[in-house]
Amino acid sequence: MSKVLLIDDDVELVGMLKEYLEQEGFEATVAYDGEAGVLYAFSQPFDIVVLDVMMPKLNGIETLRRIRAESKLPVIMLTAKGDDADRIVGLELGADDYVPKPCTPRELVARIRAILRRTQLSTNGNQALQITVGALSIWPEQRRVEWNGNPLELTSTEFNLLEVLVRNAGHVVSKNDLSQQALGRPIARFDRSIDVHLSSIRQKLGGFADGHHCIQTVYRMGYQLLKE
Amino acid sequence: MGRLFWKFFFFFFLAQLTAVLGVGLTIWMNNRDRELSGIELSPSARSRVDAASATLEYGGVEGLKHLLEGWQKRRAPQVYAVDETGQDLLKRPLPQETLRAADEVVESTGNRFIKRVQGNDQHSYLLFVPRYEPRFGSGREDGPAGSPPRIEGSPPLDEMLPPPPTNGLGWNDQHFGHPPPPDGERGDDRPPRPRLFHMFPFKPLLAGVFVSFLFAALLAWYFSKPIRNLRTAFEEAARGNLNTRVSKAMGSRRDELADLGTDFDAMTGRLDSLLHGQTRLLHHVSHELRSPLARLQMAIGLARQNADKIPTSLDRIERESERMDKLVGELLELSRLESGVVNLQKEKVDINELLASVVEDAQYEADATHPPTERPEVWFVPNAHFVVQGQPDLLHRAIENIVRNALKYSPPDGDIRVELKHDAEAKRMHLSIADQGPGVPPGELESIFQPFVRGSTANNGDGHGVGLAIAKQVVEAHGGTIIASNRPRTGLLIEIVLPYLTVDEDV
Repeated sequence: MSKVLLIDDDVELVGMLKEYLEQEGFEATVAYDGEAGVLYAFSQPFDIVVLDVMMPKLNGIETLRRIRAESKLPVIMLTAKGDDADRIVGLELGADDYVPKPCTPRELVARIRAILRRTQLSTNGNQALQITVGALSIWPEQRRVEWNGNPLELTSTEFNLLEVLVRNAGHVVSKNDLSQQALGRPIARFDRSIDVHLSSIRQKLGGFADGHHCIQTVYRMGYQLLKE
Repeated sequence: MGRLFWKFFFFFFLAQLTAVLGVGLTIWMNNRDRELSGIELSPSARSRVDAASATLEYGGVEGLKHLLEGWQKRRAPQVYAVDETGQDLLKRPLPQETLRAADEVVESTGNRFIKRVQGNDQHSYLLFVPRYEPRFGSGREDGPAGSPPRIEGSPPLDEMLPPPPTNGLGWNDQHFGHPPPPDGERGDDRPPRPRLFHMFPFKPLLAGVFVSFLFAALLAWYFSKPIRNLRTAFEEAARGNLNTRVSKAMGSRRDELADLGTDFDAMTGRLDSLLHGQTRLLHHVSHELRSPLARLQMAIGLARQNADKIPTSLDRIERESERMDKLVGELLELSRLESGVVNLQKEKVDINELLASVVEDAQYEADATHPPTERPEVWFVPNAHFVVQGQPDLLHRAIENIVRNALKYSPPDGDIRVELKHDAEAKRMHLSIADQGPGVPPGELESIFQPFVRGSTANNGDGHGVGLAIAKQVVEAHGGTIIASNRPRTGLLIEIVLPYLTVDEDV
């Protein structure tokens, strides 16, 4: 049974969401503000966090920053519709995905499942599988990445995206395919989340000696991981 | 250089030109009179005449003769001393016109330029300096008109007198023209016009025109520049940039145009803050509407998931839609109050009666929502009976909002005290509503009256944070004030001060 941490100040809403998630077979814990949320996140092993951005006291962004400072725990943000700034900042801080609020509980559960499926799939299986492209080596089962032998810290979504690119190294992967395979959903129109995630992967990865970056943007097509 | 500059410039220049021409014309006409008199009317001539008269008085005729002969040898204005018969003391010739003019000047200007002095030889002498025509081009010598005044048969004046300097004080200045020739000697070849024309002060006029051109340009620039600055600022503001400020561009200017700039800055500042306030309000509204919507969707999701939950979910859906309806209604009310479109239908309102009904409703609600053992009591303590001028439903709403708010934050069996006092000095009624709730942090005491601002200690009840904002708007529309403060131990105290119509101290 997957454990979900709900951080939201709307008591009634989280009450209903908890009820819904439990019916769907999750084990849900509720925190009504950011501070309690951070405490819970570190005190118990959760599989995923659902975090509301608009909260009094410690807001969602700050809560996310504190969680990310110590953990790679998958985080889904609930953002206000149309508030792009919060969304981008959240993704840059390492949120795995976002769901605009108000949303149907069905949609939220689908997103939670998509992220959990990817993270849980990889935790069991062949430990030895390693894929190497140039200076980059990844171990999909261990969710481990090394660049020139140095381990890198990636969030689970970042890892998923990188894994897709590595498996298709040398080929252009469209944004829609990336979204489908890494986030488990088709890309929405004007959705910048893939670009934001890739830009933070680029910052963590190094480039080639000639200044080129190993991940190239192919205009109107998608992204490509260069083999050399 | 805009059109305004040229307009300013044109009119300033025109005005100054008119002034210069007017002054020039006056001077010219004045001088023309003087010139025509044939008598030198300058300060130096006057001092010479004074010296000569003193010499005559104290040195006698011989002394004067000696002096005049001495002067004759120098290039200086010559004083003539003419006796009753028209004979000069040194026997110098003089035209009749000059003598006549001398008599006229004696009458018109008194003894300033011409003096009549009694000599010691029984003759009375007229002392004056005649005006000479300076030498001009060669053409002057050949005609009688160009030559200095002379008496027939006598040598020309020029030959006897040293040529006058062409400039300098008192001596003939060519700008001021020349005396006319005696009538009888006016030549046919020289009409009088060019002579007058010649007397016209061209050089000062030209200088005047140039200076007025310069000043008109300066003045036009001085006036049109701030206006141009203002115009660009207005254009910027019209384009939506409300951060435009013009005061800086006005520099150290202190006048109505600079004031206009300051007013413009104040206006854009106010507009900017209003616009920001509106944006913030819209942001809050969308957020406030989003929460009940999110709960609605959640309730629908629950009902879909499990048919057993349909009744409870429907209850929730109903509650949320009522909440949204209430919120929308309150928002409309607030925006009407804020924009000031509400025309208060003022009538006499019995405040005590109104308070009694609000308190009764609140007590009823408290009884209904709390178990009997922890019921908060709402006390009404009137110290006087007031009637105010106002709109009863709005006043009722405002006070009800505050009392309900107090009730919402009250602990179980925490009392609420509604007190009414008379401030006889300021002629105001004081209404205070005190609860025993947690109060609000001191920094938030003012902001709780802003829409959608809840105190950080607020529980997550069903309020929207609009109630107190409405109360404030209503009180202010009635010419009153509303402030919040924390009570000494715990609880919030809200005080309303309102002007009243009548007061009755006996309750």
